[in-house]
Amino acid sequence: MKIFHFHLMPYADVNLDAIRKAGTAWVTLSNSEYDPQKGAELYNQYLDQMEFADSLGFEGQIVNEHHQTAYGMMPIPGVMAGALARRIKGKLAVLGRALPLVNNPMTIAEEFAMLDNITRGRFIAGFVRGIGAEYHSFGVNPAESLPRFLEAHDLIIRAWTEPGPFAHEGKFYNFKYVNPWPTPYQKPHPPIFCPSSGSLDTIRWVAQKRYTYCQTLAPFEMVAKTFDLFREEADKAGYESSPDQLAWSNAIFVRETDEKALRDVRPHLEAYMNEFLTRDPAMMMPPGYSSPASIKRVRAMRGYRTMRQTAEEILDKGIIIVGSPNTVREKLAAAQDRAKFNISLTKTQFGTMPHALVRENQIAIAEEILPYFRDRAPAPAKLAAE
Amino acid sequence: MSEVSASATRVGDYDLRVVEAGLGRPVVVLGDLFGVADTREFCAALAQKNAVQAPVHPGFDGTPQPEWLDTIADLANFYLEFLKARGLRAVNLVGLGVGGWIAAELAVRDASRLASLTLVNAAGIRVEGAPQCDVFLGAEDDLLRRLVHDPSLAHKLIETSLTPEREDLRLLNQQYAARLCWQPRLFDPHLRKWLHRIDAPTLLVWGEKNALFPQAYGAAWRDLIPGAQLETLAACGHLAGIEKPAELSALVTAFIAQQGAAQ
Repeated sequence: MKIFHFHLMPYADVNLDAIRKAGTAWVTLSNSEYDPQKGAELYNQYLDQMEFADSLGFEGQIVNEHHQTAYGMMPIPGVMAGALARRIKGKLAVLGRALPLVNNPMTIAEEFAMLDNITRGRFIAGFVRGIGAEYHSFGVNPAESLPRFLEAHDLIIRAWTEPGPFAHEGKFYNFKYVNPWPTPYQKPHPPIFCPSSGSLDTIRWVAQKRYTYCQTLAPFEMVAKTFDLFREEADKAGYESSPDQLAWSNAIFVRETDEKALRDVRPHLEAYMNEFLTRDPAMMMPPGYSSPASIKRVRAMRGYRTMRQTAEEILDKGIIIVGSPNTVREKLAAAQDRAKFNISLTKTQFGTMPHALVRENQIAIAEEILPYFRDRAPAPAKLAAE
Repeated sequence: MSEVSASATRVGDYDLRVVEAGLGRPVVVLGDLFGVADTREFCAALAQKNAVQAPVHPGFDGTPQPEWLDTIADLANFYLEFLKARGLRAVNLVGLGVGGWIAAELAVRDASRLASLTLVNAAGIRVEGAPQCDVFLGAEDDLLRRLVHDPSLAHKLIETSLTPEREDLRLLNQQYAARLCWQPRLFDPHLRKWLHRIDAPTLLVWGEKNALFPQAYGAAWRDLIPGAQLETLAACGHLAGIEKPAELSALVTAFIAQQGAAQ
């Protein structure tokens, strides 16, 4: 299994009461709650954590994009990727840029091509729709999200693979001259990963394109079902998908014993799930962003808007893996065999977790977990069933 | 009350559903897209003295989605074709909310078939510095509370309209509204430049307590359309057709009669 190190870079010093009062860490939580003195410290700690994770042997470093939220301080992930590009030896992934949010997708084609050149081909490109809240923050029409995404994607791939200049004449984007300098280092282009919360349309599209599908944070059973769906969609598209096309976005926290792990992780995990991740359906699913069927499915989850979860409940659902080295190894191995994926996008910091604790967690994962999974593939179907 | 009937009119490649009632001067009512987009009570009141036709916007309320629909301007052009297809002349065009925006865009293009124009709490322009509630961010019940003034009416609307049976339709209608109104939010930056072209007697009716388009909007429309007169409905929010159907109908009927008498 390839275990990547994934950072969300939350504003960990946030006043949790302010989030509770605003009802959300997104869109409307005032940025007067942001203190640049603390933010500067966090940015530098987080970059240190990523460089340290690289030295510990993680497969690669992953950053992502979120806007106007305490959940993540990376509105421009290319800045963080640029800061890391010459400091790390492993792979570098931006998972991803939200294509529909920009007015000129060529800026993303250029940014990714630069990163691919600087890293001499160690770069992985991520394309996402952007989450619902960002359509409120950016004013982009959510009812145009999907067609904008598809057009921007097609334009970027064409710009990477077809000699320029050429003209692009689309519904949302029109350019007389498409001719990016630089072009990607990897040919025909960098590997493409697509994170999603699991909409069938996205799963199908990623399978058809033969890209890598990344399931964002979710109860493990849902992850497993989503990966089953992906394999079915690949079958329908006429090929057998590889476990390297499936990535599970999780978090891992390792301590000497299960008890100590649970005790130490509790405040940070509960803040992460209950405050940073608060999800008001009206905010997360603006009209047109998802189908009425998906919106109804989320609304139907009773108490979704106000539901708070304890650390025990979160662990029971298998949303993240916490425990002694042995427990974590067993759970991750069982997950790999059940869901047949070969890529783990693993956060070692989440919520309010402070720097010193993150460092201890990273060392424990590097010593106790990474070696065990280095050459481990999903067990064949027969063995897994036994 | 006069009999209500529904028919389909072929406009270009689209079968437009039109609800009709009453006898008298021809009135075409273009409804809103937000809250409870229901003009039945208002149309019934109007139909006591007028021949009312209320089209269902193409693609709205479960009707087939036309491929050509991207903007409010598309609807304005479409309704011009509708007036022509029905052979309507000396029409009194009434638009509520987003329907008002469509009506104004239509009248800017060609008012030759209009006897009068009435815009009720219309979208379509932006008035800087006038605070507006967000129609897209928040729960449906909260939005209804913002769009009407009387809390007991809001309560009743929440009970009767936010039903599970209508959820699919509401979600589709919200998607429709977002597609047409999300950005720029509820206005066309170019419309106000051409409102002086409207060559039809114009009545503006504004809810005194409109939280979506506050009073300043009514005054701005009045200043932009030559000769327009502005009437205010007391204790009324944005959904005037639902909150004050009788009062609104009386204002519109009197205005229409006045134009007829002047001719």
